[in-house]
Amino acid sequence: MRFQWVNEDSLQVHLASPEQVASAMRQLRMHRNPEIRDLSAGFNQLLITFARPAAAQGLLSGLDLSDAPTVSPRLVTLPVCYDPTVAPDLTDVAQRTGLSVEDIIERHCQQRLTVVAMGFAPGFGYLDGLDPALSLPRKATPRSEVPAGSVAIANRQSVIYSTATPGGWHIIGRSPARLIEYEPALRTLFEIGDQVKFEPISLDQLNACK
Amino acid sequence: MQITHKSPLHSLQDLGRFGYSHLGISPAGAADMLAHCWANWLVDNPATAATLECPGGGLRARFDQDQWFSLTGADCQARLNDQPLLPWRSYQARAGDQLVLGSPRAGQIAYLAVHHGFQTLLVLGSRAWARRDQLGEIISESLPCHPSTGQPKAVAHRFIPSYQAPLTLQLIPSYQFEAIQGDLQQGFEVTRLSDRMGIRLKARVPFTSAPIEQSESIALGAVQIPPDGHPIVLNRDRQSLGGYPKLGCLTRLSLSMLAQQRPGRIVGMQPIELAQAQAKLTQLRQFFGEFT
Repeated sequence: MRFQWVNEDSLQVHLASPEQVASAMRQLRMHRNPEIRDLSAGFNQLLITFARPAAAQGLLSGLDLSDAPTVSPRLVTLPVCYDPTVAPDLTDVAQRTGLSVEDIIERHCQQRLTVVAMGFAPGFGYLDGLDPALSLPRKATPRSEVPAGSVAIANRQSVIYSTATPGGWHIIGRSPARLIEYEPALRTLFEIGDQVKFEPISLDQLNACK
Repeated sequence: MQITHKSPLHSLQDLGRFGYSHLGISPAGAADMLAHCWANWLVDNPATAATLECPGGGLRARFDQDQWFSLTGADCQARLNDQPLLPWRSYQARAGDQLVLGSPRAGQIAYLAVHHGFQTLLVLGSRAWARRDQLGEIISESLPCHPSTGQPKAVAHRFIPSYQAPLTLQLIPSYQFEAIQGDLQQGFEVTRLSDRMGIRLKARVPFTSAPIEQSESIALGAVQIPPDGHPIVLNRDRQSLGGYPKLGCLTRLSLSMLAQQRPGRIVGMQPIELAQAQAKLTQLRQFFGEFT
């Protein structure tokens, strides 16, 4: 564990693995410590914003970062429709990877992905661990607008877009799942450390969810 | 309070929406936190009360009940009926009085507070409007507030910031500071491409830096160096993760002062010791009760 104050009250903590980040997040959030004003995490680091910077030392020394995960990760299954009408880049991905469309869908659904970071937009998560055969760099020119619910891939990661935003990832499907809900209580589809698995659905099933 | 004229940039803000960054929700909160806190102080509110943030001035409102209110931030040549009002003071309005804010004479953002604060719904513990996240209430024609009376107060002259005086931003060197090449002491021009998310500066000589390997969490006031080498200072509506190298973060007070600078202004930058910056923030938090 290596750490650095990046501003007056925010401490960046570098950790060794996504598992350590998930474990640290669980511990830091468990007791609703009033010294912690805010937490952000992703990609082997986290940022803790303190009410009183002097409280940092005691808090960090209490963290247990032993490798054994204290809790087995939650598995979230998400429906994805891979119909060409909602998957504008699917044939392009097939061409570039040399795989058939069926093969792409199978590989996308087979792997359990891990939520390694959240940010960019409310409920938006970076799901890591994509089948290497599907790994492509981001598009050179991002699309000016990606419809909400679009499921996309780039490198070893997959994402779901929550709102219509510009994006440079390859869109291979659409999910009816809502990344975040505020009523009756705040709930996100997944949190850092969760595992995610995709499950194919038909266009009819997608439309029935609207 | 009835709002008879507003701009799309006007919004209610408070200290911000804390405790949700790990889900990708931006904290939001007042762009000039210092002026927000003083506005509340002038009407005996806690710093957590919501104030009306008015970039560019241009507000018209009618009080439909007696109201103890205050103005801080940019001097927008305000008038209550026909009486000119100075900012950094609180006043007593009577039911039916008209408040008009003109254009800023200096600075950019005016803050209006009422005793007890504006009473819109709390969303995840805050009334701050976050445009990108679509959280918090958009201001409507009628802003809910309780009637109030109080004695006029004024901020002591020595505490009133001058937005026209030369400004040197204080930088806490951190993140990739050591790996970025460039001159901190040069002048930086504030550009038009600035908003509640980020303030873009134009360096005379752009910085150069190798890209970073992975996105990381962005703290308040972070000074990003994108590939073009011109710094972007990240403010309240920033994204929680970002993939550009960063010089470090501006101090909380420097960030407030920068938010008030108009496009075209030249500002300087100098490093500050972490302990000194932390002591200053602690002092502000002790005075205002809370300060972010």
